[in-house]
Amino acid sequence: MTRTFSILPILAFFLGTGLVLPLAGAQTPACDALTGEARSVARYLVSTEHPYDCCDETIEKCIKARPDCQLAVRLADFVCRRAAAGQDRTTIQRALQRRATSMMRPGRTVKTDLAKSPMVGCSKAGVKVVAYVCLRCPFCSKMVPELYREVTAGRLAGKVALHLRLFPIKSHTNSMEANLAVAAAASLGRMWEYLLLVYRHFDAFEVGRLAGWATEAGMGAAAFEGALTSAAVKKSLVASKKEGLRNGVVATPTLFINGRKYVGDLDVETLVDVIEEESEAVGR
Amino acid sequence: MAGKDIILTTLRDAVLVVVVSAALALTVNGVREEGIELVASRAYEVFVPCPEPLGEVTPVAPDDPLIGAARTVLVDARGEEEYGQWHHTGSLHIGFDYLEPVPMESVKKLAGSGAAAVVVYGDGDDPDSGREMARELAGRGLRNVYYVEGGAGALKK
Repeated sequence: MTRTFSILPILAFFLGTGLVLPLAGAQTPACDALTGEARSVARYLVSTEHPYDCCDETIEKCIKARPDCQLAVRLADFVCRRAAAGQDRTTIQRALQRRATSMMRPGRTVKTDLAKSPMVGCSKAGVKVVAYVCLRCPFCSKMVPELYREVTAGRLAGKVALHLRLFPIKSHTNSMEANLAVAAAASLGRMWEYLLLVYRHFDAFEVGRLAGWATEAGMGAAAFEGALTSAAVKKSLVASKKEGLRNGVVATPTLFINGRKYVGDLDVETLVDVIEEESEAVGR
Repeated sequence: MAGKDIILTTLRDAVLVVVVSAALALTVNGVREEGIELVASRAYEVFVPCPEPLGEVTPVAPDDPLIGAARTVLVDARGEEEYGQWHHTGSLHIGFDYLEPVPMESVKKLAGSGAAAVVVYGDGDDPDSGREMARELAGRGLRNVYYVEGGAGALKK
């Protein structure tokens, strides 16, 4: 009798922290690591939300019933990562909706002049990502280098061709000068080196330092200066901005995955996840 | 003595109001399903995507009476050369640049003109410089900003 009573508080503790409540079906590392409130938020969502492709049941049931539906596992992980970060149920539901809006096929696609946009990654990959960025956008200064690393040497290596289009945001101080300098570097075939360098010095940005960074990125001073004052380079920058406006870009960064506007979360984990999802979908 | 009493009473009432308000706020926050955390458990999201500061604008047809109305300022957003070749009678030239913001002097001039509406026409291309300038002006605080559908080409007809 005494022993039974002494077990009760221990059981209550484990029930409270969610350790003995399995996150039914969602056997993914991100979900299994959850405890407490985060676990209960994730449990609710995986047992009520549905994948937008490959299976009609809830995420939880799809994981059990359709092992071939990799999307269900991805979405469970997506939910659990957010729950672990302390996001509430509504925020995660909205994130799921935005992801579905972005990834559902066929979706509305836009035209982009890929021939004119510098590319990194695998040119033959089935996934083409076009990113409209501004060189004076703080968010871009964090996202673009991270995405570049993933595409060149990380989880997305060989799976994606990442194209960059410049979209100077007028409210950013010196946005025109910074973007024009990158357009000049692009005309000299040094866009990525230069762009990453300018982003690395984001907080120390000064127009006067653009030429020095060009030399650091391997461009000749005279060539860079010539490109910077070239009418053709400015025209290419205006063309890039106009293309963005035509495609409905109103903020940076804006990504298009295989021509579809991506309106989901822009953290690198989610980007890697959705691009891998697209890669699997085009490979099917 | 009476003065001291008044001060003490006022102070007491003030403290009472603060304590009751704080208790009420904390209770409501505690009851709310998604109450605000009293101590932040994670970093705030400092970085957010950067929007182009644009506002909502309304398109008008080239034959809309608003274009010729007495209290309307008509703006030609095309380049200087195009403006020189042809422009609508009475239009003001403010060339639109896709890279640089509309100069502050121009915005102030329009804002201080006393006009009831600002109608912009541009090149009528895709994107239309008139629409883009109208959106920028609206984004910078001007009200009742319109653009002519089809731009200068449609107006000429």
